[in-house]
Amino acid sequence: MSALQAIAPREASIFACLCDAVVAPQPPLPAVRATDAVRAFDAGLVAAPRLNRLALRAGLLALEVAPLALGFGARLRRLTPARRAAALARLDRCAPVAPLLKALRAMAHLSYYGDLRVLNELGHDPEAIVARAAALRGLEGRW
Amino acid sequence: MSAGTRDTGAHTYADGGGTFHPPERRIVAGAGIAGERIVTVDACVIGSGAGGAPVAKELAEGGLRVAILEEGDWHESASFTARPRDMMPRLYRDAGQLATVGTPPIVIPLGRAVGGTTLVNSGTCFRTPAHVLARWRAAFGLDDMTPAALEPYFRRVERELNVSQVPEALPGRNALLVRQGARALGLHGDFLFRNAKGCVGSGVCAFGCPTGAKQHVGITYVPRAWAAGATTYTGVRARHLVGNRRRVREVTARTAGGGTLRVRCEHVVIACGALLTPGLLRRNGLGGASGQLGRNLSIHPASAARAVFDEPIDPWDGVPQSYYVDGLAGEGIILEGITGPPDQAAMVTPGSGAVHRERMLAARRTGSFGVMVSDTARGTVRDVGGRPFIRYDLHGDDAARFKRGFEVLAEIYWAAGAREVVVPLAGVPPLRDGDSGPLRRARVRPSQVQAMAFHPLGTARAGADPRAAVVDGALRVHGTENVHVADGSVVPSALGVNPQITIMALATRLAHHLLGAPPPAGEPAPSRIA
Repeated sequence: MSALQAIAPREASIFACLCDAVVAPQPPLPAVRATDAVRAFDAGLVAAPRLNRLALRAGLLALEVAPLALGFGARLRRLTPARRAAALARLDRCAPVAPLLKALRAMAHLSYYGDLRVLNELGHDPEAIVARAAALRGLEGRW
Repeated sequence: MSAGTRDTGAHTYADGGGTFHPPERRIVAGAGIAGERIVTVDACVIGSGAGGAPVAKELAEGGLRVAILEEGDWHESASFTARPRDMMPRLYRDAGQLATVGTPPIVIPLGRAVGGTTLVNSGTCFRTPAHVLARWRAAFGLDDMTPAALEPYFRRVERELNVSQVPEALPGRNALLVRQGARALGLHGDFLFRNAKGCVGSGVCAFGCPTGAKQHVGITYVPRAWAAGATTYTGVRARHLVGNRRRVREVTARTAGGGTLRVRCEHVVIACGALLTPGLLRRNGLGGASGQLGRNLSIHPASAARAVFDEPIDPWDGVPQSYYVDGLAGEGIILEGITGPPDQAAMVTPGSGAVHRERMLAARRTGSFGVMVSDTARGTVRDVGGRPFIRYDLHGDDAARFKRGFEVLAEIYWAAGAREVVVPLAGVPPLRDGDSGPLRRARVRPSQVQAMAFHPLGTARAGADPRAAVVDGALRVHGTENVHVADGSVVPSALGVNPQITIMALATRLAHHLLGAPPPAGEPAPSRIA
């Protein structure tokens, strides 16, 4: 986590928790902590506009405490997976926060499924594509 | 060049040889300009995408001294990883997070690099439909915008980009299944024409083609411009057009190095795209007289259904956008392929938790295909703190078109053997076992549509009447002498098809106008084209 540039360790932990909730990984898919999902999310925020970055970081912090406001009795990270899923489902029906949750969920899915091991598990091999491309560029003088 | 016929078939598409490389890459990185630098040229072209690159190349080859200002960077194909997650922050404006404000919010991904959005688009090429040109003539007084008058410009663009048709071997299984289904229903479709050369179906056109096969303008027009003496300044953002309201004599830009680039010039061509050009014009007090600047935004909203099959189809193998169905074109609907690697699919796959996971574990067996709607709604764009603020509400008629498109697409997928079809309309459950009933019975409101948009147009529209248009038929900003626009903002109406070569043809035409040259002669006719 020391290399994170856009998010604080606490925000990284909340994002990892969200990621675990919306991906719900089970074998053969690796656990979130075994992927580079958090680092990828951080890299995406570095390139994002400042306003988006602030909104998404604030969204993570709000997401952490929202279950308390909804009567779940604990913060997001302290809920059981089932209660966490229920809390997110409630938030999905809450008009003011639903668009932000939707954006964070999409980023969580993108961040997790972009991990190389996850891609490989699903049958996709980007490194083979890159290797073939390098050979073609060398052979034919392409850009 | 001798006139004749240019083959646009499988051989042309697949042949990867003969890439043009200029003697020198004339790139000056703005990150290296910390103080003030002054250059003097004949033409300053702001933007290096579908509009800016062709204009710059044609002007440079016509003998003008040209500077191209580009906010993004130059990217080598060797740096592309074929991984959407990692390429989006590098190649897309705002890391791909630019979105409309309205119902529903719609993400509009734009490129930010040498080559502009052509670096990250799907490479589909359609000429401007004749009925659209007829409307431009009738409604906007663009009398010389006829298919015949534009023919030489399209031919030139298509040759420069090697526009040719996806061959039978490369469309990918997903597209072949859609073809099978469309044929069973008697719907017309065909393989798309694309700007590609030596394509092997890497499946990541929208995230930087690692083989250099996609002939985006950053590796076609821009190198030709360099060979003719033009220079590209990367990492610079144009801020001020200095002069008076009729004539601009200098463009000033902020550089990534914290400095200032001042470009003294005779001609200014603005090609920042439909979402950024209005802001630059307005900040400089230009183009606003008609009241149309920043208005009339059409975006060609798009969405995609997903279909699950029994057998693996590996949707990331082959050309992601390789086939289209235009049987509904008369209703303003076109179906076009859209697939990609699992991380791209994960972003748009509905559901959460275990539901989403199970859909992702079926990714190898899941195809997807897009519905694009020629929109009725019009939005606006304005500059807020130097960034585009886009207001757009999907029209109810367009929501109905999405429903109609998904109904037909579901039937296509059933005919191809799909077990399940998931449409991105909130409230519509997954369709199973050939039953489209839940979709047919649904009443779809705009807020239920989950869409993206890739083709923003119209925010500085062309038209003969200065009271109703921002630029004239020659793409000169009304009321100015030497400020022109060459990007999607001048396109005065929705096209209903992918706009890149329309923009390029209009840009080429503008360059010939500025040079006082006749239309290109001797360009070969394509053996087939769409």
